[in-house]
Amino acid sequence: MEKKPTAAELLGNNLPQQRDRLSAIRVFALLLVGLAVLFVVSISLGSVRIPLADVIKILFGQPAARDTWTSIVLNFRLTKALTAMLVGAALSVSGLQMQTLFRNPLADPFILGINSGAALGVALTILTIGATGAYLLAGLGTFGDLSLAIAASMGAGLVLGMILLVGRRIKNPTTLLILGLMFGHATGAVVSLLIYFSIPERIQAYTIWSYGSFAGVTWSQMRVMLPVILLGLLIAVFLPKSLNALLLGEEYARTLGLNIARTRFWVLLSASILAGTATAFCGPIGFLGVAIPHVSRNLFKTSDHKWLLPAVALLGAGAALVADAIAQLPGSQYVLPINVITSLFGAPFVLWVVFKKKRGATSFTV
Amino acid sequence: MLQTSALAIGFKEGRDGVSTISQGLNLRLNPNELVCLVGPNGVGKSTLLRTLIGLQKPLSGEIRLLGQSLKQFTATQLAKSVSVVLTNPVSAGAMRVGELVALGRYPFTGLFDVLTRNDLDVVDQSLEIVGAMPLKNRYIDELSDGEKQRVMVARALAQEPHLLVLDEPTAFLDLPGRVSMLSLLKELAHKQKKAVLTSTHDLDLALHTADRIWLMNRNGEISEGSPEDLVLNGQFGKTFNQSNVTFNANTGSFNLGRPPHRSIELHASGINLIWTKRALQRAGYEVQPAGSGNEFIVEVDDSTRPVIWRLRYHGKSSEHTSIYSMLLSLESDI
Repeated sequence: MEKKPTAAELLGNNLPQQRDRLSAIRVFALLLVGLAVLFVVSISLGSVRIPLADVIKILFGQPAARDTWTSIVLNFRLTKALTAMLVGAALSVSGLQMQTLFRNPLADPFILGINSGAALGVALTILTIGATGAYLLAGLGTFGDLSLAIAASMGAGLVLGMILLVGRRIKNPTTLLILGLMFGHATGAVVSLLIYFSIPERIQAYTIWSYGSFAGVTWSQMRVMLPVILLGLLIAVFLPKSLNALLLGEEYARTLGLNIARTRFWVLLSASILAGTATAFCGPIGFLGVAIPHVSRNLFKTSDHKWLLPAVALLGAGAALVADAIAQLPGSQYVLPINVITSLFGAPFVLWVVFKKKRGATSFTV
Repeated sequence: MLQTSALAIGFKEGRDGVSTISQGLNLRLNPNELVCLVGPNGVGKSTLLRTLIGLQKPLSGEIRLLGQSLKQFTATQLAKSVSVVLTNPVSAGAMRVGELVALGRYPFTGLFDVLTRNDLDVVDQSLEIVGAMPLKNRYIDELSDGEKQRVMVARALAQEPHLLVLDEPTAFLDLPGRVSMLSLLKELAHKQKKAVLTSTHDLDLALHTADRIWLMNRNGEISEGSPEDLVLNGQFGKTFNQSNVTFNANTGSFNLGRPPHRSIELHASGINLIWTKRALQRAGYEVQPAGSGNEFIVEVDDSTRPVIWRLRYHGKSSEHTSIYSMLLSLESDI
């Protein structure tokens, strides 16, 4: 009786949905190809001009015209592109989970104060620890220092722990939101206080961190960041069914047999690991987390998380690569802060998407 | 199907405070039966429903479902036995009707929510039953309130429940929508052999449709019986009578406004009699048949076109071509 339907049966279930699925698969294929192209383009961009042919040679392990090129591509640009993709995917998936969990279209990965925690950790490190101050300032140009990532991780982890602990006792998700918001304000105040009593050089170092960057992750940091983000994504893979049920609201979800407390725990864990890790290694990168889920809902015309999860991961990775490419200001020696790019170019784009197609705007009516 | 014994419902307040809404409830739901839960606003109808479906814990007493205590059900088992339509709005605009109804299969699917052939069939059958099959590929936010409510019922049916519980499913619907929603529920009870429990404020419809009524009064007491039983034993009137609304046991409807303060004699027949009488009653008159000797008389002359309403009193007489103008004249002269 309970035999699995064939793919043809699933697709043939009815015609419009069949068209939907096929076009979705086509869009996914397009996204994958686009991501690969962006990846290569991103690696070929930078202050040192390296021909595309040489970039591809280096990526396939062949010697390039100059040895310095190999070093630049493998040790700097490749890690940066990988970081951008991982962080873009992580923040977007995290944002999607938060928006559904709180049924709020404005929710983003940082809504519960994960970034505030990270910021506090970093602020404490940069602004107060005098002994390593000089070393920090020297290393901050490329964010080469792992101690910042550790400080940010500890801050983010502290907030995460608190959320999970308190979240068990709180019934109403809105209360959790308010808690996160208040925690953010309190941490912001402490950071302001630290800035107030700090010296200009350190303040500048902190400000640079707060602009966000994909460029600071080295291979040794990647060895930490990659598995942790993959862990967050792995948890996320098991959550679409529960997230779909949550679209009906918590009460309906409960009558479907969903364990709200358990679901909330795993969603918060996954979302916080993703957002916390991204922030720890790259600074608080705004906008992707709130925007990419909306763009995905519009593009795929669905609220189904089975489709949305891979969609936001791919789109988020792509968007981060694009933002990074623009930040390079191709052809110039300057590199702009990534946060400036995501917001400056992202905001009009999202407005365009939302106004052009109405459905995404109403994917949550709160 | 479902029985409660000595059930008390309400809320726990603070550490050990308790606010009891209702207690000592011994209720029963049967298959093939549509039960309407009615009562004034704020008496705790929703609390009762939420308690019966396990969204809220009872203060004391027991609920047995299919011969087993509700406490012994796992969440998934319960979801396979009871499904609900709540008043909470569903806000997922980019979801298609088919997908929404498929969410009803949640308790039956595995970790990755893969729908089997059987699941897809149940979704289609559920849509078919509520007559929403043509809507299957529409987006939810394109639906009218009435269509949306039908789809929510289909979603509940996709859980293949024994018991279907609805909280004011007619609240946002227009009159035809209300009528068709309640007749749909009756059909589900009688044709699909479900036990259906719905709360509603549409007393008139409930009186006409329900197999049984649970009537909850302001003290949280519930009287149950067929609609007619509750009218005849006076419970209906007792529960709903207020200073400006009275339940009329003769017509089974509610009369607005003051009790009649004047009387008038009406000479008419057929449909003109019915509607002129209604108009006079609405204006606060007690209507007497011809020959009662009242000095105020309304005569309806339907031998002419248009029909003429003739007003006679104190030897004066006036003629009107509409009830409206006749009532105006009556009001201004007295």
